[in-house]
Amino acid sequence: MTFHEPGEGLFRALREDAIPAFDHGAGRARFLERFAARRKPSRRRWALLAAAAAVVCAIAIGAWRATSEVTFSTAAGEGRAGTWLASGGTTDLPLIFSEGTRVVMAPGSRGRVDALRRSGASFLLERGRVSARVMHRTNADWRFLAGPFEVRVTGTRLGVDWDPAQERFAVRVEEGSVEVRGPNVGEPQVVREGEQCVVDVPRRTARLGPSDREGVPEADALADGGAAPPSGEKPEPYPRGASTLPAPLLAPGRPAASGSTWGRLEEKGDYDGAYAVATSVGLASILRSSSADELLRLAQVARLSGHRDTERDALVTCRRRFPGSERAAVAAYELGQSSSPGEAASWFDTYLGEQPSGALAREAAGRLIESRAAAGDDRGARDAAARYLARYPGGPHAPLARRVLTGAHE
Amino acid sequence: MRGGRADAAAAFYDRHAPSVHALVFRLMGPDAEIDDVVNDVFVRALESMSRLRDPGALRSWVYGITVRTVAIRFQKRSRQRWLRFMSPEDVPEVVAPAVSGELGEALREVHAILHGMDPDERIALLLHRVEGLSLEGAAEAAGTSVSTYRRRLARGEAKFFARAKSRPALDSWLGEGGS
Repeated sequence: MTFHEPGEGLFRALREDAIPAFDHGAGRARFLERFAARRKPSRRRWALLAAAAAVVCAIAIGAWRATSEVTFSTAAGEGRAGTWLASGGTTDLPLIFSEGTRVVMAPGSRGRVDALRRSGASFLLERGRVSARVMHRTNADWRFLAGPFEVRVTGTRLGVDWDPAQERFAVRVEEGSVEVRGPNVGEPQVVREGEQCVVDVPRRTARLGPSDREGVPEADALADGGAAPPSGEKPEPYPRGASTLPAPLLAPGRPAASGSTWGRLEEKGDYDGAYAVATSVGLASILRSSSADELLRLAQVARLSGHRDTERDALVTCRRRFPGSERAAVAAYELGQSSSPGEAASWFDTYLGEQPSGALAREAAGRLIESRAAAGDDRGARDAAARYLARYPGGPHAPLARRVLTGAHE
Repeated sequence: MRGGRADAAAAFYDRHAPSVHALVFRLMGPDAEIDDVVNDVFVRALESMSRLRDPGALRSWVYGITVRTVAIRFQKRSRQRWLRFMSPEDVPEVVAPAVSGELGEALREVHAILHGMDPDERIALLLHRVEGLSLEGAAEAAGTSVSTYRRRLARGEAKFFARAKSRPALDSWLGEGGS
């Protein structure tokens, strides 16, 4: 049996498969009953609808109050999650959160509040140093992300340093304790009051020892209600002399994923096989040690083999480990492709913010219209449509943009 | 029908129900909920009739509603599976095809593969390869851009053939160009 198109025989069999009997009369009666009910809404029906709407509103308001996220502000006003922040060359940038936490970005630092939650927030440090005084609350969940490292906090005073050029990381804890996850530190590594953890990724060394810095002055000053003091000298994030951490998970000399079996299977299009091999190798270690390109490839393997959670992990890791890179923006775009409409809009927006003239900018702008419309954000969809038409009047999403602007889309 | 005339609504149903039913069957396969989905299609059509700008496009409009209604049903099932912690194989929704013999066995295998696929990719695959729609037409019916549709189709085809290759009953159907 030979066919011009792959699998054409199967698809033709499906096309020609006998349609089962359909009870046309019953379906017709059901539809007409619905039609008649819609035509003549009774007073009682309206009253029920109004009561239901009131109940829904009450529940929604209650749920919103119960789950409202923390907010934060800077000297420029209320802050937004996802917006890049940069302190000046000689001045600090303090961030004040609604539940009392203070975070101070030292001079020359870049980062952003990555996510705001009811129980805390995630702060992504692209480079430089942050000091924080995290308010201790039940179920508090604060995370500081720096390159491939993650510091989890429930209530403490700490400082985090990250130098992406040298791939060196340090965390100092002044009060409480934190958990550190990342290459070479074991998983998770607890760092307690008065200790510091310093990791040199290229040299694959990690040291845990007593802190050799004096407190976290910027966060202290804010906690006392004072203005952020001018920064002192440039931080020295990589202290000398400390005890060795437990054996690193990432063994020196491990081959890069590009030469791996899963990578070769992926190149052959065997995504199920590639995923199985990647799983046997250890997804966690691949996520920690792969390049940005390899993380995007792992995401593709996971997506095409039906493992959406792993796809998301790979993309989020790509953004976390390679912030500000073109590949991180591509990861944002791919996250948009695989997210629900509301979240997708946020990712496409992120891509456009990071790569406004990137290779995927036109598609991201179009998908932003789609996702906002699908999420019921009509105003946002119209804004996105207007911007799209201004920049891509002949683009593939132009007809949709025009329909959105005229209110004709479904 | 917009004026509330029951005879127009009945004529609308009579004219479109057979094709809607056939399309739902081809997209869903043997399924106990086909009649419910057909009913949902007409309810959605009823609710969005006021937004139909071009009465001449009625047939393609109904087609698009049908495709999206099936997609919604698939997504609803996915959520239910997740909420109930059930694997797709555990959900009792597939009715055995009536065809017997080699063809029936092949169709059962095909439906089993389709059943385990991502809903968007499954629909993308069926619209192009079974319904025979062009990329542009299928993208419009699916309510998405051509580029998005093209990606879904590529993923759907890759998954379908990868899984079909592992099923001996489909060997002869995949033929020389089977993957």
